[in-house]
Amino acid sequence: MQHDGLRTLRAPLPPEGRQAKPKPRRRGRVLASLLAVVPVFGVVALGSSGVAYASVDVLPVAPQGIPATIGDIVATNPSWAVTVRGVAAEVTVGATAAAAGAAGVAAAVPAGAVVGAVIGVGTAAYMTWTAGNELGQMLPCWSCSGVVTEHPNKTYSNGLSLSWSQSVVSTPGGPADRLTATVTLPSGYDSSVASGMNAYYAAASGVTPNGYYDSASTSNKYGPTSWTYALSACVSGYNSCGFGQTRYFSGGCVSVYTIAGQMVLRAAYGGVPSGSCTTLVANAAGSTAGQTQAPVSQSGGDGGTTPQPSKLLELVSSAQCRPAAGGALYTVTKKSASFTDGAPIPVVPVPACNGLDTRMSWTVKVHPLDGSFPDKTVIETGTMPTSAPADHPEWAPCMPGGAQHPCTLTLTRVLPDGTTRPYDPATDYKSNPLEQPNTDPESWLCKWGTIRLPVAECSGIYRQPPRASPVPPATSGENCLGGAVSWNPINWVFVPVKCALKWAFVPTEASLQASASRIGGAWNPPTGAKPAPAAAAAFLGGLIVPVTDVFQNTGTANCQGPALDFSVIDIGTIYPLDACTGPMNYARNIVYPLEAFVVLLGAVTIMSSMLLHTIQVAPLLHQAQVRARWMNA
Amino acid sequence: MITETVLDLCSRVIAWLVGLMPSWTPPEWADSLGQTWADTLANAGGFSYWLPFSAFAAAILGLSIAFALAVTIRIARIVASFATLGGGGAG
Repeated sequence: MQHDGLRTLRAPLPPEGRQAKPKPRRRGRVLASLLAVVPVFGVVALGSSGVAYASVDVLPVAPQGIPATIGDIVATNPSWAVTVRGVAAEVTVGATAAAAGAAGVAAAVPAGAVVGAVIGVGTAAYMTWTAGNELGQMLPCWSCSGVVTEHPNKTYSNGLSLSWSQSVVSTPGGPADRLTATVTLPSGYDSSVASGMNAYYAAASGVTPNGYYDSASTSNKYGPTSWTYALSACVSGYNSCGFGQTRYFSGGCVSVYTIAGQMVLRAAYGGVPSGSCTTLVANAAGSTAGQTQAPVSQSGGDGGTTPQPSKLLELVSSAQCRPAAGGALYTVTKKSASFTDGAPIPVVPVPACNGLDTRMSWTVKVHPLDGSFPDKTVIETGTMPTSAPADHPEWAPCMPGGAQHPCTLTLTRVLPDGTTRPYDPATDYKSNPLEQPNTDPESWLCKWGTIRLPVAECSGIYRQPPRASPVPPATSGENCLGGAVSWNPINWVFVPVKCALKWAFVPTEASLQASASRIGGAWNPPTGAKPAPAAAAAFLGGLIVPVTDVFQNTGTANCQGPALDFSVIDIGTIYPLDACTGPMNYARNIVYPLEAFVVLLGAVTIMSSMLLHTIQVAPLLHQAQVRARWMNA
Repeated sequence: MITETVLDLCSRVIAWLVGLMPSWTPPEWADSLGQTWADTLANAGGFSYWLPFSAFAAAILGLSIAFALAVTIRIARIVASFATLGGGGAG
């Protein structure tokens, strides 16, 4: 297993026997979504050709000041290990007919409807699919140098498991009777990807009147296929996601598109995307035999597979920010430390927007210091809509002077049974709603007052008002004296005094914001270097985050224990303390609580000693004893 | 208006003081150090199934609270000793 990011990304896919073993650290799950799947064939793509996929937000370990609320895939140090934090979505095949009971819904699903999903982790890709209400079947891995035929419902020795399931949701009278497929990656999968590895997933559904996959003969059989719809899994779900478009993450590329009229769901694991990617197209028998995957190098897409240590690279990280107070967007840029081709990739710096300004998008490009090839975009998030109030007359009720002004932004989860509940950060954080607009708009309701907004308006800024919401007009002093017009003589004195005091001591929101912005701007200027204290605080904060990460690492996600990398002597990675199963697991279950008990007992002992010494209990007890003895005498 | 003026003045003073600070960008070795630190801790995280880091965290938190409490008590005793002209003993 190779641990360095780009090298791993660039390297040809290793055979199954050398699959990278993900090391789970955090819990999470992934739902993949899409529509229209198909019989799938082995198609490998490393390319940037018309593809659809998840926009991702790849962050280094919880950078200071940038909440990971947008992130679905989070890069952790080192390199570009990615963490799938979000739930991609559900795959649904809508049933239009009202139906009662699961059987009824199943019957209402269009004939031949299929849903499918692809899950990839490390160096292998898995796909399964189903037709109608039938549980999915396995398809062979089509993107590996060696064919891997494993069912996604697989549990690895390290405790990681990938699973895929589908179900029929019956909601008579509800908003969506549908066939639903779900991809989940339980057992703490979401940070399970070790250094330099990728996790990706996608799903699709659609209607294929004649196509099907024959698992018995392991061949794909397609008839004339007309895809009525096909949407890509869209993790962050911004406006740039959609069918026929390409999104990348850490070199992985998943796509859904058509070849010769057939829907193809394809995934690849390989190098940094470049224009020279190769697509392997399944032949009539569904085979890609005889085709080879062109290597992609980070060093200019030159096709080389050998690292070029003389090539000095750096990561240029740019964020586009929207000022909270309005005005033009601005861009902040940071650069990583330089690194050589083939070396582990340094931490990807994430530029912070100023103060409360909103980060609109984020890109990371590989930049050669010698300018020998154009910058390569390796991480790209979606771009938030930039709509303004003038573009939305329907927002009028919540605008100043509107009947509902001021309005509150709310995000509501629509459950499969049609009921709703408020957005709960504790439970919904991982089911990132950002992808929902593109896959299942009925799953989320984003409202500003009673006005329904695109869910994207609620994404990433749950704790802020809509981006285009106006600042409420200052009301201080407004009509304050109106209350004095009264028959009550007390008001003739009280109201003017109140107004005077209010004018004198109650600050307007605008002035508070101005003061806060002034300090925030000085502390964290939008451009240029930060003042030393701010820079030092940010740096120290970056050191603390990994510590808190360690303390939060609990549960079975780490049951493999520490990894020892012996890849240099071709042994690979071993886990000497693997306690996921077997005797080691029993031993751990005995040792762990004992350790915790000892630690806590020691802490309590020290705390008691410290406090007793401080309040000097011992001398007091001694005095009491002497006094008692004297009294008795 | 008075509060606004005070806040405005304070914010200007603070911004001015912050502006007096030299700007600084962490050097490359600091980034490298940070990465090394993160790498080390990430590797240490592999022991979390065997070592009760959460218990360590609770213990550290508890000890910190106890220490703060002890310091507070000690300070209170010192202050109290002023009122008793030293008779109370600061301990």
